[in-house]
Amino acid sequence: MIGKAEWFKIRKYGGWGITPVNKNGWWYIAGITLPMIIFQSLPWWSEEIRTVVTMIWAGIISIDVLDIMVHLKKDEREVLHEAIAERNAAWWMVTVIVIGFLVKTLERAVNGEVYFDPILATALLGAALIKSLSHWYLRNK
Amino acid sequence: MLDLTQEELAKKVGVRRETIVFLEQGKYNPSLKLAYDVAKVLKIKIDDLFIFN
Repeated sequence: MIGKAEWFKIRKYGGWGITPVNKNGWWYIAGITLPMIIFQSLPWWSEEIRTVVTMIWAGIISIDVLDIMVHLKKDEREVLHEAIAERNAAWWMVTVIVIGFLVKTLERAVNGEVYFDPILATALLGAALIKSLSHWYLRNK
Repeated sequence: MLDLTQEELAKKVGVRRETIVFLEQGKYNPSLKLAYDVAKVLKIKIDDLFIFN
């Protein structure tokens, strides 16, 4: 892939993702963003070409960042801390989604309507499935 | 004991220097594997290096 894991570290205090630790990381960010900014600022592309190029660019960057994150070296203490932090974040998200889901359901029920949000349902069911699969994988590892 | 810096010890056992710092300060409980690796590098018994309480 394009980026290297040794140029980055996991972002701990500013959300998710990676953050550069040396100038190679900053060059990487410049190298992937500047061509896109230049491309988008040029007037002679159609809207379709802009959309297709942007989607391809976003796809490549997403795969590359995922590859970097997978290959980032973490020792056991960092793995433990990351797991606890991610669990806490997941609990917060699940709590907010469930409360929101219940409030919306009650609001609609008062008006005799049924509330169903496929995105929220997919988020909750998908999270439950991922949790089960993770436990299953770790038990058998 | 060997004359190793925290950085050198960290590199030998495959962890970050911060982890060695926290181990020294008693702020991190290592896995059995890490405890064994550190003791092996330092050429002493785990019992002499870590105190269980």
